[in-house]
Amino acid sequence: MNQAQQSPIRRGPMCSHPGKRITLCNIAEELRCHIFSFLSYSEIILCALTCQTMYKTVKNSTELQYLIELGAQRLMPVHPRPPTVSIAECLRILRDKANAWSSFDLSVTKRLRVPWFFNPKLITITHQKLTLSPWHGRGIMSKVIDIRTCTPETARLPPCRWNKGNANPSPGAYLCYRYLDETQDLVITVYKLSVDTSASDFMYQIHFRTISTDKEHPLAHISCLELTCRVPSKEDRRFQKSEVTVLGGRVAFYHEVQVLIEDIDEIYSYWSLHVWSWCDGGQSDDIYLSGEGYSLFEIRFLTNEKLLSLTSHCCIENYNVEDLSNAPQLQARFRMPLISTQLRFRYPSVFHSTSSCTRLAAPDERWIWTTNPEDRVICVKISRPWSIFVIRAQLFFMDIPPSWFDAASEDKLVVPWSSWGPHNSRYLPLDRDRSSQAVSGVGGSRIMRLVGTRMHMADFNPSAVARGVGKIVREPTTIPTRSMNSFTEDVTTHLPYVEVVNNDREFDGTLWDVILDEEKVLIITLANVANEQAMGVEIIEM
Amino acid sequence: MVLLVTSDNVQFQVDKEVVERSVLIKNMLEDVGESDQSIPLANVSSSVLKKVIEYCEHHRGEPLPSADADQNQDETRKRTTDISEWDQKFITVDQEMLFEIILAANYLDIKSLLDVGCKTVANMIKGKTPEEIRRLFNIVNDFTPEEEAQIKKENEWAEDR
Repeated sequence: MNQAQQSPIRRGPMCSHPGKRITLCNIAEELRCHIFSFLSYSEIILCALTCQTMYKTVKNSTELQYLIELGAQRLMPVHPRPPTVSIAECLRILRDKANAWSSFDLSVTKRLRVPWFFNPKLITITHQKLTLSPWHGRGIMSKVIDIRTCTPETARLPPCRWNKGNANPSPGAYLCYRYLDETQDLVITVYKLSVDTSASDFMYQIHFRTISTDKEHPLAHISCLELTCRVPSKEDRRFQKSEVTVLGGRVAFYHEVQVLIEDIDEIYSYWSLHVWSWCDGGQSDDIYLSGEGYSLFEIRFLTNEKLLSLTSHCCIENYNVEDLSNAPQLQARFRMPLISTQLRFRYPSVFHSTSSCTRLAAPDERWIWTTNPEDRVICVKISRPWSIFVIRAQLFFMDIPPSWFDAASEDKLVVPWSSWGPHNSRYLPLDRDRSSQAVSGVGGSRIMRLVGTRMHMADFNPSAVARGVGKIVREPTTIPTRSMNSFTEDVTTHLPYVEVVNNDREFDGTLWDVILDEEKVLIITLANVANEQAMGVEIIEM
Repeated sequence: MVLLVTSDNVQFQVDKEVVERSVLIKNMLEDVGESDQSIPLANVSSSVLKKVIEYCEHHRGEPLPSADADQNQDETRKRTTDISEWDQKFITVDQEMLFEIILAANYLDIKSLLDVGCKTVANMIKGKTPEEIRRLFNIVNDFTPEEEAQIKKENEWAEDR
């Protein structure tokens, strides 16, 4: 690497051509580099196209090459670069990662076996930590495995068990939701308090504690928060649901109650959505958004400012939650081309705190990049037929052209599938037979899915498509509606992607799930070992 | 007071506190200790030094960036090209003076002034095509058509889209 770029700008003669007019082309190269370092990567490239001198400046500078590589790969650093790692080293890693595509193989770096006690659907991975949660939603235990240090032996150690007595509130309260964010050592438990049944309000107690010590979380503004959710109706209650999600300092709480309206013999939903900062406080019972007549199946933060929900109307709702002194504000409802009650977000690392929480300490020996939020994809999984919609997150960051909205819709916020869908998404069917699950995973701008006996990795990052290492798919695919009764219209999608397929290889058991982020792939298998069911976790570095 | 002498032999009497915004001069003063000797600045003309002193006067007393913080600041500044209102007015000069200020700030080691100058040039480049950049800075396109095609091809993958 060129050492000159690392040291302070050289103090040399004022001008390389004394007496001549000073221009951008004849000042010291280091100064040109410094000027260009204030530009975006695409502007740096445009400068390189102007003349030989500028081209050489850009080509010779490790710092500028790093900025170009980072920008073009649509990545942003999560932590500042540690002083021990040079820019040249960063550049090399980035380039290696981009080129690793051509040799997509699933060679395992670590293999773990954990008891089937844990629910494979509740595994999350963030950077170096793997979190396992048991099948029984009400059990207060979980296990966090440090991927760097764990061995097959430590993986078999019993899970940590929180002291139920500490976290349990008043008698009669029952646990209705638990949310773990291991990047912030945070566990949120939601209890519903038993209250006078004649009152229409619901009382919740929300606890913010640490996973590691089961103590009040030091960053929590209030470690135990009481929240009242008002229900405008006193009809016969049939069903009640609550959900929590977190990203960095933001927390969202969803409460829903379904009632039977006897006059018309119909189930009707009332819900409320509360968003606040669990570190700074300022939550008020009065600031929330309420809705009725439909439900939010799932809520997820996309960034600190944006919250997405999947609704029973088969829409993806985009909420603005930037200003906490106001209730969440609905921006648009993106209608999916189907009717189904089985829509789910594929749990992606995109929604995880690592990528948004500047408070997190830098890992000692490494740091990571993460895909720019706009350049990620989100994934909606449907079960009939087994398939996924890959949707580029950019959709939720853009200003929606007024012509996209359905003027006939009641609140004029519905964006029909035909306006947004075809060019912002790609429909991918999943293989499923008796021996395997419909396996797919999403991380950053990548989707991994099982087709037959091979894993297919698709990258929707525009620069990966442009680099074209792999098979580029640009042509539209069409799914005729007659083949699936849940679809409301023909589905043609054409979001471009590049795909590579791994070599045929045996898995340790039945393939159950795949989880990925920008650095790792986790393959979850289910196997019978010595008459005991066990879950295999294969860790693959990318 | 410190006496500075420019390349065109003009003398400037400047407050020590003001002139010490230049790391170069600060180090020189520390090296020579208390002395009435003038400091020759053979690389800076009087018109440029006048501007530089104006800048240092205005920012008198502001904390200087420490050398250690440099690296991290560089990465966390997020390549922002925001310039404060006063600085923006100050740096509204013709192109030749702009580059003269950049060179002087670099020579005298005044990091904040160097950044203001470089950000200003970067802002001039933003949003322009290569041809517009050439016209703005009087750059002669010295690529052969083959070279130009080759370079475009090289960077195709990284085009913003």
